This record gives sequence, structure tokens and C-alpha cells, in this order.
Amino acid sequence: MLEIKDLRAKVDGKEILKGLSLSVGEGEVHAVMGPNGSGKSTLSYVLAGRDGYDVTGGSIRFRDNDLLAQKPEERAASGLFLAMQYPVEIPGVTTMNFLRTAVNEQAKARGEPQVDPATFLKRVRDVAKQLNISDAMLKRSLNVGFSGGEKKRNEVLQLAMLAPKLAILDETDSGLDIDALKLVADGVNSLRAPDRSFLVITHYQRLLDYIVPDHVHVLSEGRIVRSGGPELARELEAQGYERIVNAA
Amino acid sequence: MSMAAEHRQDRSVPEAEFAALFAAVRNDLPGPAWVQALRAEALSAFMREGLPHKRLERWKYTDFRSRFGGGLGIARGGEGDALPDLFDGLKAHRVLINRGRVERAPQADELPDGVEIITLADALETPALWLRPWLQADRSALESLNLAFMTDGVCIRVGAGVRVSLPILLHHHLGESGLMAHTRSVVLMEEGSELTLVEIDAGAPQSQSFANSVLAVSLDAGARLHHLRLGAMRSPGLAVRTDQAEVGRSALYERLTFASGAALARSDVQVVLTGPAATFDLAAAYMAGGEELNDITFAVTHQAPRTTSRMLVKSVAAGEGHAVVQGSVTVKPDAQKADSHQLARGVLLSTKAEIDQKPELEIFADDVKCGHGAAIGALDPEQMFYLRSRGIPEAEARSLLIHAFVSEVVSRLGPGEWQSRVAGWLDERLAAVTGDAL
Repeated sequence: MLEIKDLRAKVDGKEILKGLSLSVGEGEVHAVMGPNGSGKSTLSYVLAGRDGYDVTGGSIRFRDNDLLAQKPEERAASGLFLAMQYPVEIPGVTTMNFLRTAVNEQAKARGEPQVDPATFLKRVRDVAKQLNISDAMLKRSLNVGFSGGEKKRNEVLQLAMLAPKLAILDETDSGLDIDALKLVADGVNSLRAPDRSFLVITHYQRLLDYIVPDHVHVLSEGRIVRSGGPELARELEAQGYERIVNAA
Repeated sequence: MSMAAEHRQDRSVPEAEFAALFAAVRNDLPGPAWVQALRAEALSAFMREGLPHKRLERWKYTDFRSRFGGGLGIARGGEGDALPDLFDGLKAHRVLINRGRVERAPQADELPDGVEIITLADALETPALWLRPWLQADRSALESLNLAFMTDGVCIRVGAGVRVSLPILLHHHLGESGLMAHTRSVVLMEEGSELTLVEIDAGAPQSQSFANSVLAVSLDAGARLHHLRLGAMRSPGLAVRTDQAEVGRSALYERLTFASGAALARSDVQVVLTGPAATFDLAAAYMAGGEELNDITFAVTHQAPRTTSRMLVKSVAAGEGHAVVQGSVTVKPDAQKADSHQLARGVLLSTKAEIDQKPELEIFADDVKCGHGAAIGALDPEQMFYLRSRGIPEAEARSLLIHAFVSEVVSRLGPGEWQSRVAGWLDERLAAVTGDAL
């Protein structure tokens, strides 16, 4: 599904990722944990193709394509989704219009038919209801005036509607209280499927109590320094990053 | 039709060309002696000032003189060639002003009781004492030029307490090359009346023309005017609009303006809030692509206490397009508790595009609330990335964001067919200005 080899990337001329390798198989849930400044967000932005992230070495294969050669919209159409740590506010574009445009543009890029408007509307409403997103929110400008929790739920709504093959959750737990966290985690868990993989990027183990990963990786100074099962997350929580990183 | 050919003068002195043209056509222009005298006076005023140019503060960014090609004749009606207007099929009292003459207007029995529409050409043949305050020769050069050459227009009067349910729609059309139209209209609204006025300025593409229109608006106490203007002249046509409004006690002048497509479109809006608690509310959206220039220059004077003004202008410039927003607000000593805010925002879509925004504030009262804001930038890269990361290609993402940018103005129309027509027109303009020009 996703094969990252020896990835190196710079931001503002400074090398942040220093030879990162990671492999995610179909249907697997991987967690990448790391302290502040270890390169977590850089990894997610490099995967999604954001400008200003200079890849200086290594390769990324995603579903048998050279991901780094693709534009952000092409990556999305081929099944990659990034749930952002700080979802962007877009005044004047309603959530509903945005979702419809995204779903239809992805369908167009894949040569699939456009989604029937009535079916689309029903699906959005159903998923929104599960996530406790009101009709009024769907009609409001995207993320404008949404609380932190609402923004994150809106990311999960997009995730559900776009049905990607690989979903990257970048610090989806940040700024959420426990109820909001559960709601988001339930939403994500309901989307787990044999043909869908997840890369959960987080600082804290808390989220992994709800979205239980198959594999856990520790990111430090731009490289994966240790990998293991779900128990590694608990070990990190108990002992702190410093010991684990130094031991590695 | 082109009278100008016979009277063409040295191009370096376009003013002389107007003088010669005036001598040639003055006897064919409507109005008895008092009007003729006014015209001559107006021409002199124009000759003293000349065509506006960039050394004048109010025309600093819009060098009309250098863009004016000259060699144009006076449009005085003729065979109808106007296409259906953008709002074709929607219910309205329609006036067609084609080639400088009113070609079609509702008859008295088609209008609700208390509403009068007469043509300017007809009004000028009468003593028209009520009209004279609106015909002043000394205001600005292009307005004087208009007065000297005015051929037609409409005078709309709405009686006290009359609320006109259907909009009155003025469709200005100038589709033929080599012509200029100087039209002038007046809207007088008596106490407590209400009207929606819709105006479309349209022309044919590739037509070398100049539309110079003046609109005077007077709102008595409690009157409410909702005014939508769509500037849809096409390049290389030039369009200059001068609007003067006097807003009385507790009256409301609500103005929405959209413009795109002319080689030069200048909208000069002068509003005086004469009565206590009068309100002026302007929202405008402009799109300039190619080598187009879109200019809105407004001057709002708060003369009375508790008056309010709100101005929101959004400009989009692509290609080598140029947008200009100059807004000046003056608060006179008597206008205590005046409340004014102006905001200009511009989006630049190319490195060769230009946007100039100049807000000004002059306050002579001590208890007022006045503010202004101005911002110009490219589309937000974070928003672009967010949309693209969801699979929306770059061009569509850009279009979505520009839509969003102007939607604040479009949404003022309220949901419905009028709004969708304007939105559709803006879509076309957006495609045109971004299509090949980014």
C-alpha cells in the first residue's frame, strides 16, 4: 500500500526527515509517535504534497505509483487522505458544496461517474448524524466558526465521504476533550476495512486507546528509531520518549 | 451614423474634438433655450477642465485621457440591436436605453399608481423646474460633458408611501462601434416610498465606444432604494458612471455593484447623507482581466447626526487587469454619532495584475465611530492546499476560492433567480478573466 524508503526532506533549508523508512500494508493501522519536532507533521505534509516541503532523497510508492511525482489532487484521487491537525477555514464555501466538489472531482479523475445528488445528500446526512454534525453546520462555511472538536469531526466526515485507501490522521487528538475524542475515534473505527489502511500520527498514547493500531513506530529526529506492537505505545506513555529514544 | 468622422480633429487635443462636435450637433440635441444655455455652459466647464487624467488626485490610478481614443460620434438612437438583458424573463418594469435614447419604457397604465417614468428627452421639453437642481454644469469634467451632450435617460418619481413591488430595470445598451452615449437619469423618491432599481450597462464585444452616464438619486425621509448595478460593457468599450445621491432622514440607499469586461469602467459614487439617521450601504465586486481597468471611487459625506455608511468592495485582478478602489468619507461637524466603515479587499491572480486601494477619512465631528480596512493579496496557499488535498484540481480550487471571495457581495442579493443570474454572469466573467490570463 505505502512504501517509504530512506525519505529525506527539508523545510526552509533545514533537514527534518533524515532517512525515514516505513511500510504500511493493506488494511493495517500504523501509529507513528514522536516528541515535538521529531518530524511528524513534516511526514504528513510530504505525503500529501504540500508546497514548501523539499524532498531531497528517498522514495515513496503508494499503490504502485511514484507518489512524489503526483500533485496533491492526484494523490487524493488515487486514495490518499490527510486529516489535518489544523483544518483550514474557508469563508464562502459551504461544507456541503466543498464535499460535493471533492467527491465529484475525485470521481472524475478516476473516470468514474458523478455521484447522484440525492444519494450524495443522503450519505452526507447519515454520516454527519453519526458524527453529531448538524445540518446547519453542513450549510455553514467550511470550518468557519467551528470549534476545535467540530473541525476534527468535519475531517472525519470528509474521510468517510472520500473513502480513501490510506488515511493519515495528523494529531487528530490534539485539542479534543474525551467525549470529542471518543466520537472521532468511533468515526474512524467504523471506517476500518480490509482494503483501507491508516497512519495515525500522534504525540500521546491516549488516541491509541480508542484507535488500536497493529503497529507502532517511534519517530525521532527524522527517522523511525523503533517499531513494535500496540504495547510500545503504552511503554512510551509509561517511560517517556527520552528513554525509548536513547535506548534505540 | 458616425458624425465624428467629419469633425475629427488633432488627436492630441481630444477636448477640441468635443468642442467641434458640440458645434455640429447642438441644434439636434433635445431641449428648448434653457437647456441649450445649460449645455453651452456645461461644455465651457468641460473645456476648462479637460478629460480627467492621472495628475488629478481622483483619477490618479485611472488615466482616462490616455485610454480615450477619441473619434467618436454622439449616439442618438437608431435601429434596435440590443440583445435580451441578463435578467430576461424575470418580472420587472423594463426600460431599454439603446444608443443613448429610450427605446422602450413602460406606459403609465403599466405602472402601479404613484409611480411615474418619463423620458429625459420629454422632460427637457417642459419647464421641468423640479429637474433643474439635478442639472448642474460645474461638478466634474465628465459630468459636464454628459450635460452638454445628454440625449436621453429616464426620470423616475415614486410618490409618498408607495412601495413598488416589481423592480424597475434600466437596460443601457451601446453596441455599435464609433459611438458615445451621454445619458442621464433621475430617481426621486418621496417620503416613505420603496423601490428596487436594477441597471445593466451592456455593450457588444469589440465595439469601440464610450458610455458616460449620470444618475441622480434623491431619497426623502424614510425612503428606501435598493439599487443593483451590473457593469457589463465589453472591451474595448469605456464606461464611466457618475452617481449622486442625497439621502434624507432615516432613508436607506442600499447599493450593490458588479462590474467586469470593459476596457475601462469607472464608477464615481457621491453620496450625501443629508438627514439624521440616513444610511448608505454599498457592496461591490469587480473582476478585471486582460488589460481591463475597473475603478470604483466613492465619496460619502455625513452631514447629519446618527448617519451610517457601510462600504465593502472586493476586487479580483488577473492577467494585466487593474482594479482601483478609492473611498473617501467625510464627517461634517453636525454629524455627531456618525458611524462609518469601509473595507476593501483585493485578490491578485497574476504578477502583472494591479490593485490600488485608497481609503480616506476626514472627520470634523468629535463623537463618531469611523473605520476602514484594506487588504490585497494572492489566494491563500493554505486554503489552496486544503482544497487540492481533497482532490480538487488547482484550477477548480482557485475558482472555488474566488467564488467564495465574492460570495459575500453576491449573497446580498438574497436567494432567488436574480442572484443566480448574477452568479452565473460572474462565473462567465471569472472563466474569461482567468482562462488565458493567469
